[in-house]
Amino acid sequence: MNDKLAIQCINLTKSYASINAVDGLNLDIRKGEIMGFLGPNGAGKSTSINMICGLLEPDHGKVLIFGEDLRIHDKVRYKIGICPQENIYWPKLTGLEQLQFMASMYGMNLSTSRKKGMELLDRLGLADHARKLSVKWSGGMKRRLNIALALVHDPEIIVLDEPEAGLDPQSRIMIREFITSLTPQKTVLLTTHNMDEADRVSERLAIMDKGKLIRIGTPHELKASIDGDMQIKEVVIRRKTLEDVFINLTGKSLRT
Amino acid sequence: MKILAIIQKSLREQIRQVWLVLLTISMAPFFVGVYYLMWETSSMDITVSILNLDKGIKQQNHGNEFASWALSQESDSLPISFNKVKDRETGIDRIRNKKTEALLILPSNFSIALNQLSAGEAVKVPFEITGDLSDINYMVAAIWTHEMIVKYIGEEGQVDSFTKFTETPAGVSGDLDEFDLYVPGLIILSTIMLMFTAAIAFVRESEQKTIIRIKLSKAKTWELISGISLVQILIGFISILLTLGIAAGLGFEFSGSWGIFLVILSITCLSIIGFSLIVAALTKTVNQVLIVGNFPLFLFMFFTGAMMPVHGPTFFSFAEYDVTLPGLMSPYHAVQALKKVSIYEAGLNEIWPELICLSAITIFYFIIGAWLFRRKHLRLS
Repeated sequence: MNDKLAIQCINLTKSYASINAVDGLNLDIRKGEIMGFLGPNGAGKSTSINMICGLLEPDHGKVLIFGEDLRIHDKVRYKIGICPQENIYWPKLTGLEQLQFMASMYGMNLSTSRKKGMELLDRLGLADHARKLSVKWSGGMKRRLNIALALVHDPEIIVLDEPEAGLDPQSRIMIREFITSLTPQKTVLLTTHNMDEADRVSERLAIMDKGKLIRIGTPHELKASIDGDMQIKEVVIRRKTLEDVFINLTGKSLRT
Repeated sequence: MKILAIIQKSLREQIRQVWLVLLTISMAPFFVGVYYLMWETSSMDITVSILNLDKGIKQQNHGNEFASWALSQESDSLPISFNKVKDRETGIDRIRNKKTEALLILPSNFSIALNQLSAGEAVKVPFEITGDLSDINYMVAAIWTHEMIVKYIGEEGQVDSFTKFTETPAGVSGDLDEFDLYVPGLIILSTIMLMFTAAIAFVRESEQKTIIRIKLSKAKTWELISGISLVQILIGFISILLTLGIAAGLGFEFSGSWGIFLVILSITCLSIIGFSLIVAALTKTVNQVLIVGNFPLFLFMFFTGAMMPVHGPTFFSFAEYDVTLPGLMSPYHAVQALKKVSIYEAGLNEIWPELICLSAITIFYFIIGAWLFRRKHLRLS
């Protein structure tokens, strides 16, 4: 057991019919780091996240959370907070009510859950709307509420599935800063299609394609790893971006 | 603590979708009003047409005298009324047009036969009565017409009948009318309507995917189901009180034990919530609940005695209680028990077979419902 690791995916495999959604994923995520998880649509990111959170059972392999096997010690999942790709919230509850409710579901008492809820709403710029029904909130506010819902029980690992999707630049910056502020106390696993976001926020990046982990490293290492021709070309035309790395590794063809 | 939070959340959600709750709690009171209009504001109006073919004897025509005597009967002393028709075709037309329930044809030798009877001779008088035999009102008309003829012949023919019936009402049935007999079923209907709000409350968590958050949390399946169920029971009792209040306002009097009333309705509410768990487990969206739920709703409404009396083949009996085909549905036993309590003022010792059936089906619904719901919506890897 490695004390420095928050998440260990060991030979994680999941198939749907004849499709290998995740094919022998081996991935270590260190405590307190922000790990960017990249890949084209259908690469297996969401399936991997669902297995890491305990929502999906792997066909083979295992997930260790702080060294404990998720299948054996299922209570270890309480250490994970998830912000799914789509906004999941109770439209007929106010922002504060749903944060209080979720905190209660993790065993917090009423006053603690209320305090924690207000604190999160404040940090995410939602305090003024705390007592309004969330169904009436804007898309950006709902996204931030989802991040708050992932954090309300004070988990040690935060899984954020495309937290900036569909947001305006201001909200993106706000969420980016918020994610950064979570570390080193918490470990963050972040999936995104926004290469700039991944570049700015992540300490390390894992790139998946066709169910396999094809590259892992710091943004700098990944940028340095692509073909020499392309590097020269990019230097001439514009500054090389992580998107170039991504396209270089996964190709330009559209995925399902 | 978690149950309290679930109750609080569920209560808030129900209050904030007030139209759904209002529709649920107003359905049974609405039917109470409809039944009141059907039974209380209109008379039963069962009529018998008399066709007199009696040729009479000398100055006397017993056919005319019987008809006049029957027509002169006070309406509050008889559940039927009489009128006269001039020929058979007119009488048959009146039956076809639902203007009369039966046609009594007095034979041509009625007066002669009655005189012979007075003289002590043994005679047979060929009365004919015709009507729609499939109509339950015809049976009432035929029985009372026979009763009237026997009474007339007894008096005019000076024949003493050796039978004398004394009618004694069972329980408080003598004070009840049709409306009172239907109210217990309609009170059960108010709990049946819970099926939609309860199933929607369960399935909405799945439809809006919030169930993912709940199943990742420390909340247990039983805590979620209990929290939502308790709120639904509260809605059920609001509906029951509203139904009972409207019925009482329209003249219904409940004379049984309130304690037993509460026991029966509490178990019935739980039973319906248990069944709604099955509905929720078989569906994914609120729309699907509304479509799939209609099938059991109609079965519960129309084939358990909630809205009209039902019969079915008997599967088995215990303690003299027949478990019939409708008895596979829990509301049937609730209706039977509540009718016994309200009509016969029955105690627990008299309705225990109904309560055992009701409780057994409730437990069955809950076990199957909770298992299916957990398997379908709450299972983690």
